Amino acid sequence: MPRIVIDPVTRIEGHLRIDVDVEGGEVRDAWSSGQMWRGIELILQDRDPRDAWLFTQRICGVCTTVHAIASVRAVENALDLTIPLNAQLIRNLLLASHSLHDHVVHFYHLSALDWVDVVSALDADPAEASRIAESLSPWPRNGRREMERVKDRLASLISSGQLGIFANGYWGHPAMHLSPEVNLMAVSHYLQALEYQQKANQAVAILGGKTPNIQNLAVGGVANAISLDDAAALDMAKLYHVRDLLDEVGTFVREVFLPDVAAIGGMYPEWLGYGAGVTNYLAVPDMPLDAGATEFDLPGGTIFGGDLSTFEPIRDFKDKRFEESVTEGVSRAWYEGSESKHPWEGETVPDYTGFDEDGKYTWVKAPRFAGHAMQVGPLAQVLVGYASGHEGTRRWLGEALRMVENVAGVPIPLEALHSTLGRHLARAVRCAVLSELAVRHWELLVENIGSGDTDVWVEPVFPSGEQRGFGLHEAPRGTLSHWVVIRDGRIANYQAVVPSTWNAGPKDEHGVAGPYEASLIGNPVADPEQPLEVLRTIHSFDPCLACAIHTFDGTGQERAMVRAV
Amino acid sequence: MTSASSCAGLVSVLGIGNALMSDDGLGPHFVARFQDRFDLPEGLEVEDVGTPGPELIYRVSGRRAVIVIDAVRGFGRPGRIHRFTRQHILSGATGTPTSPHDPFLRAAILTSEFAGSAPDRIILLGAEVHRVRPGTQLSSVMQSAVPVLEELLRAELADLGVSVTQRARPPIGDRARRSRGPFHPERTIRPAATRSTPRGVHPPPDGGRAERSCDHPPPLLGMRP
Repeated sequence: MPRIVIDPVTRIEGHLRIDVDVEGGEVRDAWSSGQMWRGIELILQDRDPRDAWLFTQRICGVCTTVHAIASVRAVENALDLTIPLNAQLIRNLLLASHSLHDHVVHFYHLSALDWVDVVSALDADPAEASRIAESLSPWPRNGRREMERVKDRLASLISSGQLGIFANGYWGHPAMHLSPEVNLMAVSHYLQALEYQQKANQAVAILGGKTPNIQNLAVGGVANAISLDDAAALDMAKLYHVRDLLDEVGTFVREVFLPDVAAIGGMYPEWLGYGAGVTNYLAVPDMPLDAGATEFDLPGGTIFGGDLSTFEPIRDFKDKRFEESVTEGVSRAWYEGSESKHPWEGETVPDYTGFDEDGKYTWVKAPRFAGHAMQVGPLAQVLVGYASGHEGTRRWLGEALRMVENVAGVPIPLEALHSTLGRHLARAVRCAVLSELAVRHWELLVENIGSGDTDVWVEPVFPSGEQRGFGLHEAPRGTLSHWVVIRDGRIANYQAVVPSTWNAGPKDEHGVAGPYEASLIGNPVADPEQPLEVLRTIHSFDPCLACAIHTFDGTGQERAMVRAV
Repeated sequence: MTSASSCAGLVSVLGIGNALMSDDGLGPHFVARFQDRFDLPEGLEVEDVGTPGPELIYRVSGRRAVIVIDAVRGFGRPGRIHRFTRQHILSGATGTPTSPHDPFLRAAILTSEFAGSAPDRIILLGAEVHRVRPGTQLSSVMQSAVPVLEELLRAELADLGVSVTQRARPPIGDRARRSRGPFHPERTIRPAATRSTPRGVHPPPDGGRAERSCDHPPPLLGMRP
């Protein structure tokens, strides 16, 4: 039985190794081994809790905003602090803008090459490519000239002999099914997506002062000075700039991103049957509508066994069930001991013992919710939204499934979402929902400022003794929680349970596999030397294992290894 | 939609690295110090970009020149500084595809070339690491490389026709200008108690950076030759 080792998995964030055993052309067993950021508790020991977010946001260079937000919320939770409404709304705009940026990048610049054969686009008829694109969407940049220009660019790149960014792709792989015209359309959108991801990031930068590593947060609110007439502050000019960017990005999401994913879904319908894995889902509420965070525009909750009738909400940032249910286990991870611990009691004592598939084989701990492995991310967010009756989620999910059906020519049931393509589709649906909520929250912010409220911050006061808090945030990759223990105004313990830990985690002490591992079981593998199908499933999770280091490496290590043994 | 790019002619210095991992944080530490010490002219941006992913693409696109500051490993004695050209960066000689960092710097260059908006010049100035493990400070070996790197950077900028002037000593009490490193951990910006125009709330020292950088993304399918 061939064992395939992919180390590292490319076109993701961070370092991940995947091992699979293949028999009869499909995956029988899988191990997910990751390098996860750890040590934040070392860095934060004894520091002022008001500064924690400045450090935690450096855990990951791609999702700095999410760790900043979760951190300030953890401290605010410990102090039971209510922050001003403007601060909630500005943070919500950061969530929406950042997610729109991140998801667009993930689909076009990290995942699309799993499904799109760029070299095949050279055989495309640009007029036909344009006709197909225009039949799928009213987007105005799908004209024949645009397609010709992209095709010419591709042709000169390929004739130069160097595929550049498209080198090392799976061109001509038997699992590539798109026509040359659809491939050309996808490449043209890939280039346009570069512009729109930048626009979304500009919105983050305007509100955050800069990105990455925003500067506008504070325990107690935000540091944006709001003054409608002062150009040095957050004034109407900046707010309208943000609005323009959100409008442009929203149009791209609804008219390009969602139709593209649906079209690809329709042309690879078999991939709605692979990659389910763990069908317990977790999402936390976000985008609070009031200062006290009692109402939210994004619902949270849990679903078990893929059965939407098991949905139970997670109500707010103080939810007791969430607080009490989270543990992290180290039985299969390179840490001392083998128990599961609640994050407030969490420790990180590394103990590297080598890759042992029957023992310890990863740096990633195994988070569990009331003992269950949970899948987090856009699929969880969309299913929780659907189950809770969230209007925007139901509407956009319905629209997306209709688009897939138009292309596939067969009805697509909701159950099809428990799959590799389901995750991609859910991500696009999530973006469509967020594109509308972003504008809604922008309007709420402007309205609130217009009513005369320019409060952005309340002063946190740290009593003596001990306080414990947890901060929740639905990041692009799923549920993020930061857990802090404060003693006499200083940090005594700090743990971050990040979404990719939930998804990339190993088997637990009962042998129950984590989501990546479980999702690979049953995946086809046509050619063990070119395991494109494994990458398709892993990429559908949008792995982010934290680029813990970014040193330019000349040590002559082997090239990215795909080894079939 | 987008006009002729306000990035055209812009020279970017990008500090890359994880400021939580001691010497890997060379880029952010270097940029914080450079921003404190020098006034930057129009047409020059100096940014701490942390540990970027594909968004590095648009940091590189449309610029006249890009100079990356980063920690390097495998090139010799700790603290020693090396200069890499575009060919070096893209070839196997300066790194393998296995580094989590490489794909994005290379992908950024190659994607911008595909889109027709690559910078005319891209240089990487790197200092060899001594110690990479959780920590917020550079090792003393790496710290001693910083002033040397600063002089090399100024020479690169001069070669591009860009000069920076050293700032006068900051006035006492001007908290925004005190040297603060990439975290400014000692003097976090703390908003004053709220009022309609909060006193004591300075826009972050980097405030307005969104305006100083490109307001409009370069047209990636532009008409550049």
